[in-house]
Amino acid sequence: MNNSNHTDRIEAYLMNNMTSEERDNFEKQITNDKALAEEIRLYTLESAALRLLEQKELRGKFEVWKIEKQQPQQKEATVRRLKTTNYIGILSIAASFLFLMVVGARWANVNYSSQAIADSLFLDTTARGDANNSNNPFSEVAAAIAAKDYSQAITLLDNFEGTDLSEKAALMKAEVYYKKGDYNNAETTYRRIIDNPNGQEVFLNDAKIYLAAVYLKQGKEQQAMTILNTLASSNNNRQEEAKKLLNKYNSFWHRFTW
Amino acid sequence: MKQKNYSDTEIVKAIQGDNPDDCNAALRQLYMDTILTAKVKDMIKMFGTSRIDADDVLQEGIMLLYDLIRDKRFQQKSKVRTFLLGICKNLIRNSNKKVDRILLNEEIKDDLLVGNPYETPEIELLLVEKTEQEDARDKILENLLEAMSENCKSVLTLYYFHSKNMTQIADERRLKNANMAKKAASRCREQLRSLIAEQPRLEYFLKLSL
Repeated sequence: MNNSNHTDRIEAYLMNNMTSEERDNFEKQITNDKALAEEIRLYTLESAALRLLEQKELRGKFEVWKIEKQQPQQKEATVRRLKTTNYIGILSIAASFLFLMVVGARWANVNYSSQAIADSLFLDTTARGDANNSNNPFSEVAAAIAAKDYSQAITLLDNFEGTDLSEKAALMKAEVYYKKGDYNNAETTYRRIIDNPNGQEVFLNDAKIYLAAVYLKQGKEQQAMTILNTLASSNNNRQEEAKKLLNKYNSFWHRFTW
Repeated sequence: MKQKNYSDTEIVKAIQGDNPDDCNAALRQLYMDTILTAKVKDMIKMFGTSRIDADDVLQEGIMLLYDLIRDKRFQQKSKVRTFLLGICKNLIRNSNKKVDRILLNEEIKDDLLVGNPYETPEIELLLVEKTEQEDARDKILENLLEAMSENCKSVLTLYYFHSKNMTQIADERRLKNANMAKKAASRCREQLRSLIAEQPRLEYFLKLSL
C-alpha cells in the first residue's frame, strides 16, 4: 500500500466516510497493525493541532475585519458628533447673537431713539425751581407738574401772562403740553416764544432746543436737525446741549432704534 | 473597489473551495453584514446581555458555521444567514449563564431535534461550554504551534485547509517546484508530529477535542 492510499484510508476512517464493511475491515487491520494504530493516533493529534492553527489564522483575519468594520462607525460617529457640535455651536452663537441684538437694540432704543433724545431734554427740572421753596414764583406750578396735574399747571401758568415772568411761564406751559403729549400746542407755544421780537435770547434758544424735541416727537426729524445744527454751530447757552443731542442722533446706536 | 456579493450557494462553495481569497471574502461578507450585526445586537438586547459585543458573537458564530460548512455538515436546508443567526442566538443565550468560549456540539443527531430546525435552526444546535481541560489543552497547543516556523505554519495551512496542491504551494511560498513544496510539507508535518510527541499531556487533551 502506498503512502497516499494509506493516508486516504485513515482520513476516510476518521471522517466516517467508509462503508460499514470497509470500516470493519480497517478496524481489524488496525488491531493487527501496531504501526497503523500509531499512525492513526498521530494523524488524529496532528489534525486537532492543525485545526487550532486554522482557528488562530481565522481569528487573526477577524481582528483585521473588526478594525475595518469599526472604522466607518467611528468615522460616522465622529461626523455625527462634529455635525451635532457644529449644529449646537451654530445655534448657540446664533442665540447669543440674537440675544445681544435684542438687548442691544432695546438698550439703544431706550437711550438713542428720537423719542429718547427728545425726552432727555425735559429731565432737567431745575429751570422750574424748587417746588417747596416759597420764594419760587413757580413753586405751585412745579408741584402740579410733579403731581402730573397738567390742567392745574396750565391754569396756574396762564396767571403769569402779561407779567415779567410771562416768557418763562410760556416755556413752562409748552413743557406741560409736551408732557401731556399735546405736541401741537407745545409746538405753537414754543413758536410763539421764538417769534416774539422782544423776547430774551436765553428764552429764545431754550424755546428752539425744546421745539427741536417736539419735532423729534412728531417725527419731523429734518426740522429738528435744522434747529439743532443751528444751535450747535453758534455760540449760545444751548450750544453744548445741541451738540450732545446731535451726537446721539448721529451715533451708531441710533440706527438700531425704532 | 466594490466587493463581490456572495449568494448562499457561493458562500458554501467559497468556504469549501481551495481559494483562500474567495473563502476570506465570503467570511468577511458575513462578518461585515450590517443587517446580521443589527440582528445580533437586537438579540443581545433581547437577552439583556449588554456586556457582550455583537461583533464578537458574530465572529464566534461564523467560525462555528465555517467548521460545519467545511466538514460538509451544513446541508443548506435553511439560509446561511438564518442558520448563522441561530448559532449566534445560542451563543448569546449560553453566555448569559457563563461568559466563555462556546463550542458547537458536533455529535447532535437529527432524531434529537424538536420543532422545525429549518425555521429555527438554533434548536438544531447544542453548544458546549469550554472546559478547564480544553483551556489547558489550547494553551499547550498554542505554545507548540508557536515553536513552529512561520513557513511551516503557512505550508501546513495551505495544504490542509486551503486544499492547495503542491504546485500551488510552491508558487505561493516561492519554492522552486512542486517537489520542493512536497518536501517542505512533509518536513513540517514531521516537525508538528515530533512536537506533539514531546508533549505527553497533549495526547489526552487532543483526544478530548475530537
